Amino acid sequence: MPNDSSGWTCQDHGIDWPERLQLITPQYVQQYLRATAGIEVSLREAAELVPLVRGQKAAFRGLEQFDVSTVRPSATFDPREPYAS
Amino acid sequence: MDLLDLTATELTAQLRDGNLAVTAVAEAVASRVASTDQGLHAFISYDAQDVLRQAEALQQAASRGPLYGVPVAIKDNIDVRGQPTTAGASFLADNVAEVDAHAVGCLRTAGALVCGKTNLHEFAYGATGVNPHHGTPPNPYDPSRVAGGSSSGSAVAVATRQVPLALGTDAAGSIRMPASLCGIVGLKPTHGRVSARGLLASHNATVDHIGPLARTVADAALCLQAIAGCDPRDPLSIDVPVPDYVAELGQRGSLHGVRVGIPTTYFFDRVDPEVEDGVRTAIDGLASLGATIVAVDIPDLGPMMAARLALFADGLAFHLRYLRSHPERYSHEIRLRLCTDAFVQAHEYARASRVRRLLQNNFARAFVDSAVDLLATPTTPMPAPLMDQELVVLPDGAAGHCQAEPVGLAMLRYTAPANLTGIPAVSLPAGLTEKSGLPFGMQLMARPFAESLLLSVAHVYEQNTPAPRNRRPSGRRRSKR
Repeated sequence: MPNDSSGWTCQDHGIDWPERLQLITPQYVQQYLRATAGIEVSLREAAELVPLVRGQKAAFRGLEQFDVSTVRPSATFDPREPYAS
Repeated sequence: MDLLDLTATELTAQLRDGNLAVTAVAEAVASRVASTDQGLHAFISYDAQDVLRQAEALQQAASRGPLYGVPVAIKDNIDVRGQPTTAGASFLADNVAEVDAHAVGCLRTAGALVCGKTNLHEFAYGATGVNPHHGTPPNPYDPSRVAGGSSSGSAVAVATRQVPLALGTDAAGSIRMPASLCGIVGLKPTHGRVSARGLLASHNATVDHIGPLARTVADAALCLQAIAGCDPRDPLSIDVPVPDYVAELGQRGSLHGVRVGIPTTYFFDRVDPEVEDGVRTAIDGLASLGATIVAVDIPDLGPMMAARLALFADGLAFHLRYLRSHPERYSHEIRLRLCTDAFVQAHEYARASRVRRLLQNNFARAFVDSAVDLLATPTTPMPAPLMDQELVVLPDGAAGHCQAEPVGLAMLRYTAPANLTGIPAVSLPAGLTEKSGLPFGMQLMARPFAESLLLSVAHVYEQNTPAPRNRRPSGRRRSKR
C-alpha cells in the first residue's frame, strides 16, 4: 500500500496508485514552482515536497468519483443555501 | 479568591455591582501575564499601560456594557488598532493595524478590556500551535505536549486563567482543537454570523471564522453576544437577527425534545480508544439529560474532505509575494505546505468547490431527513500530542488496522467539516484520559445560525456533568510517548 507523509493512501480513495504520480520528481517540483509561481526551492526541499504533492494529487483523484457536472456553487457563500432546497 | 479565578460572567457582575474596580482587573491581568508568560508563550505582545488606560476610561464611562471590565485577549491574526498583527510570523512586526477588526470594536463597545495579542501557529496554518518564531505555548495539563492550534495562545491564556476570555480564529478547527486539548470551551459560529473584517486574509475567506474561547459555555455565549451581527462592510457577513444567547441559556432545564445525531461513519474512525469511550460516555450523558440519540449517515465524507486541500490554496494569494521575496523567513513546515498548495490546478480548485457543495448538501440532508437538531462527535481523534511528535497511529476499527498519519492532519479530521459546511460547532470538555490525565472535547454541531440551541444544550450538559473545567491544570506532568 503506497503511503506518503501527507497521510493519504490510495486505499483512502479507492484508486490505484497512478503511474503518472511517479513522474513527480524533485526536479519536476523545482522546475514547476519556478516556472508557474516564481518560487525557488532547493532540490533537497523539492525532494521533501514530492510525497506531499503526490499525496495531494492522490486525494484529488478521490474527488473525481463525484459527479459535479450539474453542481452550481454560489458566487458567494451562505451556509443556509442547502437547507432551503 | 483570586479575581482571575472568576468566570467572565462572574467578573462583570462583580464589576457592575461596584465590588471590584476595572483598574484592579487590569493590574491583575498584567501581573499574571508578567509572572507566567515567559513559560507559557501565550502572548506575542501585551501592552499593560494601554490596558490600564482602557480600564481608567471604562471607569469614567457613563454606560456599562455586557462585558464591562472583562479582559479579552485577541489572537494575533486579528487587528487591534495601534498594535502589530504578526500572525505568528517572523516578518510582520511592522504590520500595525490602523483600525480595530469589527469583532474587536464590538468587544470595546460591550465594555471589554482588549488585553494583548495571543500566540498562534504561524499564519494560523497548522493544528499543533508549534511556533518557532514566538515560542510554543505548552499544554496546561502537560508541558511536554502541545496546546493545539492554531489558536494556541488564546486557549492557553484562558485555560491558565491569564484572562477569562479570548478570541480565536477557525479555518479547519483552530478554535475547537486547542479548546479540546486544553479542557476549555471553543465556539466556531456559523459562517457570516461574526464579521471577519480585520482578520488577516491568509486563508480562504469562506472557511475562516472568528469566535470565542472561554472556560464556560455561559462565557462563550456572553462573548458571542457581543461580536455577532451583520457587518455591511464584510461581504460574507449575513443579516440574520441575533438572539439573546445569554438569556436563552437559562431557559432549558433538560434536553427533552432535543434530537442528537451520531454519525455512523468518519467521525469515529481512526480515534484514540480512550477518546472514543469518553465521548460516547458524554453522549450517554446527553441521553440521560433527556436527549434522543439517533444514528445518522453522512455519506462520502472521507473522500469529500479532500476538497479542503484545494480550497486552502486560496491562501497563496496572500503569501506568494512573501514566498518569492524572502522564503527563508517562513518556517520550514509552512514553506513546504505553501509550496504544496502551489500545485493545486484551477480545475482541481473548481471541482473542490463543487464537491464542497455536495458535502454541504449531505450535511443538510442528514439534519433534515433524520430530523436531528445537533450532531455529536469527538472534537479531536486524540488528546494532546507531544511537542515533537510528527506522526500518530490510531486504530481504525472499520478497516481493522492501524495506520500512521501526520499529527497535523489527524487533529483536524473531525473539525474541518464544519468549516466546509459553515455550520456552527462548539467543543466542550468531555473528560480526561485515564492514562495520561489529558483533556478531550466533545464537538456539537448544529444547523446554520442555531448557535442558541447549540449553546443551551452545551450549557445543560456542562451544568450537569463534572468536567475538567473545575480542575485548574497543574502543568507539572511530563509524559513519555
